[in-house]
Amino acid sequence: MRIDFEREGGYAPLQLEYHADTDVLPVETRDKLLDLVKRSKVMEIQQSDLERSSQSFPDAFTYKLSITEGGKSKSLSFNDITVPASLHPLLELFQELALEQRLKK
Amino acid sequence: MSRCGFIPPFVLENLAKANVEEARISAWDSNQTTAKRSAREINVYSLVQAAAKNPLRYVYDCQNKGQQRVKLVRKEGDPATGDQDVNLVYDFAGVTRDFYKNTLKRNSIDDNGLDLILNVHYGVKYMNAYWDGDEMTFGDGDGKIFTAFDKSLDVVAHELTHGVTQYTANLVYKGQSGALNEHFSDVIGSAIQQYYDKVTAEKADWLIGNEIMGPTLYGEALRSMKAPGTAYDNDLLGKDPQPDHMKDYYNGSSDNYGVHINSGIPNKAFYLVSMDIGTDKAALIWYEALKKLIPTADFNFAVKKIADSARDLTNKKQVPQGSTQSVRAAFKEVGLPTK
Ligand SMILES: [Zn+2]
Repeated sequence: MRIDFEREGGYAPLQLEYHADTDVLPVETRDKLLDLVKRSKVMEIQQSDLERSSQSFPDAFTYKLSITEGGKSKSLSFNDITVPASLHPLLELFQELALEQRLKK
Repeated sequence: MSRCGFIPPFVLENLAKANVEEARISAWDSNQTTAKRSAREINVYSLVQAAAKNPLRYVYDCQNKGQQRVKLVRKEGDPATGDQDVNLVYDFAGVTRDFYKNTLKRNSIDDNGLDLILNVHYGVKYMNAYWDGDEMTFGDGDGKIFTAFDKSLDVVAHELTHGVTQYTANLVYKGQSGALNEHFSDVIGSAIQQYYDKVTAEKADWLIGNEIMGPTLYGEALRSMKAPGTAYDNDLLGKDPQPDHMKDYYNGSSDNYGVHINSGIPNKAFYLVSMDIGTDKAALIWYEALKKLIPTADFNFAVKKIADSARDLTNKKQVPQGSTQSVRAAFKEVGLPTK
């Protein structure tokens, strides 16, 4: 599974991105990520379901998420106001992994 | 969903006539589980508030869920709780409300006593605070990079001012109008911080967000109004990209076309005017200008309205002679207006 995640905006200028191919991730990270992708049902979310997504809200983060798996691809953009509740654990993990990666560099 | 229609009009009328705060609180409580209020709709509360004229604070604990208003933990007049974040946000929202009322003669966000809804402990290690059109939301940070965002008066005042901007100029949150939206929040945030700390423009640090830096970033800040572009420089955040002059204007698409970046330009001008006439007088000029702006205002338009406001207030003897020239000179120093 290919993951591309970006987060920008916000009161504090901590922009994050995380790009990964789950095949080459450490087993523990891979399992956690795949589990959260499954539980969030992200592949079933339609961009059109994310109401008010075109509007910008002061200081809210904006997110871009692309997941490609076995010929199926999902690209979503949303913000803190329009984010589906089921995605929160996944976003928290992306923040953790992106920071880990940045601090390693 | 609007709350219009939940309560018959005659009850509203009586509530408004009675002007009883308990009634308002109880009405609020009984409805708090229903859909949250839309700032764009007239609802029962604004009708009641029109008579009561006293904005109430409601602090909700989100219990680290990605959801607002999970549990009401402190409302207006309640004693302090054991949760420091709840107490700080309650106090800082009070300071901001009082500054607007006493210094700028504005009755809350909508100038009509709108209640202040504050959410703390939002999400898990959520490193942000935002205004969503109706209420303010604050994350805990991770404790290493950032502490809780409600620990800073200028953050709370900044977010509340996004509400004020929505109800006045309603500046579109993109490009120059978006940078102005950010700018006005930084202006009022700084003015309130200085008013609270009882420091003059000369003594103030003019930093934004320095109070929420965790141990990893201690000593850094998010923005500097005195010297935009110098607030931070580290491996985690990179280097502060704020310009302090139009010649370095950011033209990229990131951050809604640079709303937190290009705000550095007018921020520097506000600092210069404050050094000349005092932050409180400068804030008054800026606030009057905010009420004259239009949603798509650009920097040049804002400069004109800020100078117009300086003239009006000089005429009314509310700001010192020479304030208008101070405004023009400050903007000239940052390359505004552009030809
Ligand atoms: Zn802001």
